[in-house]
Amino acid sequence: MKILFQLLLIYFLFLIQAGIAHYAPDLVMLALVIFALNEPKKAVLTLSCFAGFCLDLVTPQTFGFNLLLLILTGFSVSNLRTMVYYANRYALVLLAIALGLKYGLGFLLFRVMPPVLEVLLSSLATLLLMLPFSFFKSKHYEY
Amino acid sequence: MVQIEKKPSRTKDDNRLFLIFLLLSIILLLLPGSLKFNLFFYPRVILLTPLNLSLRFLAELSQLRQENLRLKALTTQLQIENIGLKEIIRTQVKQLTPPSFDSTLPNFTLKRAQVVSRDRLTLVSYLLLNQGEQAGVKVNMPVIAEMGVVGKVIATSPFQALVETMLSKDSKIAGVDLRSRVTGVVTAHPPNRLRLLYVPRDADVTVGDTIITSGLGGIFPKGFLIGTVVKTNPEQNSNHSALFKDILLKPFVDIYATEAVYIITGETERPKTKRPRTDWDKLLEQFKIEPPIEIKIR
Repeated sequence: MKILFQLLLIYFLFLIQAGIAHYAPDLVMLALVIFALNEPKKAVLTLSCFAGFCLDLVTPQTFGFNLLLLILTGFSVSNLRTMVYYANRYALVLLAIALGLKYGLGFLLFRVMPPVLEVLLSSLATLLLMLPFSFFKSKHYEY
Repeated sequence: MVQIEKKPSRTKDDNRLFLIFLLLSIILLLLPGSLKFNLFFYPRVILLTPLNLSLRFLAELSQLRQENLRLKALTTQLQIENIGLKEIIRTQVKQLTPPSFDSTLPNFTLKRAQVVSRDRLTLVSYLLLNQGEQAGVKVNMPVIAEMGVVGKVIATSPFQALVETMLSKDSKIAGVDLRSRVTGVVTAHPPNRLRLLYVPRDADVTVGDTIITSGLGGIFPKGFLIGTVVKTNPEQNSNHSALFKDILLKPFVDIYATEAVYIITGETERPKTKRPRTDWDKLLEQFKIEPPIEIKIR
């Protein structure tokens, strides 16, 4: 049941993100990093797959890219959280790395980059939205 | 001897799932574009339907807002035209001549303005508008709403204008009864009524009559709606009752609820248009009859 709510939340955030289009904060990525820090790996992989699939629907030319990106991000963050204490304190850094991976991988694969201003504003908005979450303790900091 | 119970490790399962998803995404990435497009056509339609519906709804809302503004302006313009036409018909009926349709109606230039503030005491005596000298607004310009007269501009700044409404105690507007042509001066009668002053006791003004601006005074053009007569009382011993009728009006415009108004910033003559041929013309031509000089149609 919990996973169903999480899927719905991801879908809702995807709709908002797709509705705003340009300059939109990467809400799906943000939610995924938060889930990856707190939820079991299997759930994170399912959520990553669904989120990536949804985002790929909007960009049919590069179908599969978001799926790949979010699966890599979700899995990596899930693994990293067991290695560091107080994982949420690193949430901002992890998100920044994920965003860097998104644009870097996109450029490497397709040789296409959105306008710099759009990348900066979108990333900044995403990181700012992550800021409040960084102050909370992760469920898994006791590892 | 202590037996250590071996817990089933989930890591292997998770890694396997990760590899499956990874493989799937790479396969999808490598598929040809047209195949991907066709393969995920229906999921795209289903999952993006709420988004499309929401965006369409927002676009329709924006269109409706613009349409509403346009219709309000149109209503005001039509109201003005309606009153003007009634005036022309009334005048020409009195002169026993048929209405001439190429008569010129004044064509007012209206400036829409939002009410941004009201006076603190009564809320209806003075209004502050968000258009000023920059928009061509000057002192003494008449201010109207969709239903009729609101007041006049009494002060301006570059971006704002102060309006003295007809419900202000200092306001005086020359009015005329649309039916009987009895004239008077309309003043405020707090809190939300008007009074028609200086109407003789024996004048023909009855409940239900419409009072419009008479054009006297030079501020308000002729023919704008002011209010309807709700009470006439010649017997009452009021200040004017010995000589004048006591007439109470209900204003057409609800100034308490007015959010946007129109300032009449100019007046131009409507270009004359040739009257279209009617059945009457055809009939006259057919029987070769010259219309009598009094009803000759220009």
